[in-house]
Amino acid sequence: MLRTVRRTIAIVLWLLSTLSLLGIFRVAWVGRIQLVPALLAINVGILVLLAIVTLVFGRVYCSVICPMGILQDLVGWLSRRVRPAANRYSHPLWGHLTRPLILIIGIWGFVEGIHWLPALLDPWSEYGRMVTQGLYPLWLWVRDLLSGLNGPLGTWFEHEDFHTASFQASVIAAVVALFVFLTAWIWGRTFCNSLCPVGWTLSWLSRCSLFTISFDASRCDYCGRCEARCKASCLDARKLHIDPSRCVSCFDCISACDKGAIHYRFRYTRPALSGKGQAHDESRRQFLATSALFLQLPFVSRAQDIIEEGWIDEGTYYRTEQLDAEHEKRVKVYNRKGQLVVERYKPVMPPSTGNIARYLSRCTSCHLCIVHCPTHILRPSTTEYGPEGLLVPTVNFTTGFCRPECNACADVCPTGAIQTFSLSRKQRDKMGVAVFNSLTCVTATDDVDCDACVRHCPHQAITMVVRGNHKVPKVSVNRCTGCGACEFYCPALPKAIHIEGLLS
Amino acid sequence: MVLHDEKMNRREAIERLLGGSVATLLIAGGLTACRQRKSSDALQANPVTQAALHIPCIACGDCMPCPYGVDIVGCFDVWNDAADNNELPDPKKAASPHYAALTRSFLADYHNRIPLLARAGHCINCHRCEPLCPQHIQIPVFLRQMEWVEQNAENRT
Repeated sequence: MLRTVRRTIAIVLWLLSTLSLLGIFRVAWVGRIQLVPALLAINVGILVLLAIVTLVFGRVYCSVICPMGILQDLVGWLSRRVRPAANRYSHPLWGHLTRPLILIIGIWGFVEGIHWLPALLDPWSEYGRMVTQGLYPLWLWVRDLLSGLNGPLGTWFEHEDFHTASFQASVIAAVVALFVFLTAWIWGRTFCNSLCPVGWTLSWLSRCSLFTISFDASRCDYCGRCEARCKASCLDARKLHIDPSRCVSCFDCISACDKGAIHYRFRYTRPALSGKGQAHDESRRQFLATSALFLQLPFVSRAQDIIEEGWIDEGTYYRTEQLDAEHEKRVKVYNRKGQLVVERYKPVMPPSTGNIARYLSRCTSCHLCIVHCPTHILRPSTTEYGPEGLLVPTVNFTTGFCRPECNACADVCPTGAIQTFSLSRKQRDKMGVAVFNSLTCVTATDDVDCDACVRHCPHQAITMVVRGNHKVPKVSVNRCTGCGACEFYCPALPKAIHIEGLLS
Repeated sequence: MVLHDEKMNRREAIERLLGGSVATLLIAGGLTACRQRKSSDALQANPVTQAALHIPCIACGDCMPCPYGVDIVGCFDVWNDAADNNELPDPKKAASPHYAALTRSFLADYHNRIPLLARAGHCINCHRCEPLCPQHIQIPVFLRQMEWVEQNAENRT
């Protein structure tokens, strides 16, 4: 009964998170209820809720909410169907050491600004990257096939000419996926038991949970079925002992026992109250210490006047050569024929992300925004933000521009790296600023009149001024929001008008 | 006259008279307006309304290749298919219940058939194609019109 309830909720939540990571549904709260995103977003409500759930039911988070945990359960379940389980899952002793070590490494990476370290360790983001880099291209392919159908089904799916996979992100996701699948196939929840820092942190709370799995030694005949079924390899049937750091309250042992010797019971029964009350206090103190560690981390203030950039002032033309001496061209975008489309000095961040330090420290690269962007301009970064910002979404205007009536990325972002914003704010907030290069403009190279950038600017930030025989654009820096419509529609190659990011 | 014959497609009748030029659009539009005044229901019932927007392109391909990569013939083909079936999402009638369904089918058809960088929005109005057209179609004008419909449809979805 308990197991059925647990499995039903788990499957529903897992399907919801997987489908929203595939872009089929937009269920934002599935990401928001994950622990690391909630911590990064300082979402107190969710944190309290998770703490209460763990304090009452034990570590059900790992077996019900976390999609990575459910994935391992599914793989383990499949493996037991294929190769009937004879052996119990074993757990090496070093597994107790690795998790705190990894937690320390993650926190150190967060504090030091080595963004990809915590991003690599967070189970939600790992699962997100596995889906968006592995399954999402497959789904796009299926959608492509469906879009070719005649009739009503064909109109629901559109052929989209883009790819969101990046080499680095796919390699990392493939390595993680291979590791998780293989270990889950052979040893069950290995990732949770020996690597995941989230589950380890929660296990300290679950040690004093109200309800816990307990044994009735008088009924037990030590058959060892519970031990063989335990997918977290936490149960010792000979000593009738459960390792609280690994148990995820999956109730598999309860359903495995045909003697009725295992129960899910209230922990603090009267005779044991005095003895266990201290343990309760102690572990709570440990929890408070852990959460204080998280809260004390430096949060970077987002207020920063992004316009005050030395080389951007209103009404001047920008020649790229003038900038060469001061800045390095970090971002280079090529099209599929290998032609250079645009070179940026500074990468463009998604809207409403504040400054670069804040953005990188909050984002865990789950790539949910990448999937939900309707014009597919968000991509995993490679070298744009430097080595510490690997995989963090960056903006690339080759497939469209940031539409003024859209806030999908902020809507889905679970960590608050892309802050929620209203559509009226989108008319003012800047992602970057348009920079004109008269050398590659078609008015100079092809000697034709062109008004592509002016016509498509949604904020009327571009005006035309006469220069020689033709009119060329002039950008009003105050009005420009860096949406990239001008860059996308610019017919020149490399683009004569492009967006520069506002990183400081 | 011929135009009162219910069996005959009004566009065909006008095209037969005028040899299929841009005047088709103007005259049929005027006729539609006359009819509109008679009865408001007639606008939806009348298949001529959108068929009049048919672009008289014969797909000869003389205008191609566009120096800026627009697939002119393909775009006009998509437009004509939608117009002939009375399935163009008219932004002026965005409030009507059919508009959402029309936008979806129109955009799906358009996006499935025309690659991203060959769509009407990438016309830069250089007018190099216009003298090449044997039908004397004002190609940039029609492409602009198509982009307007597309942009409005995308804003709604």
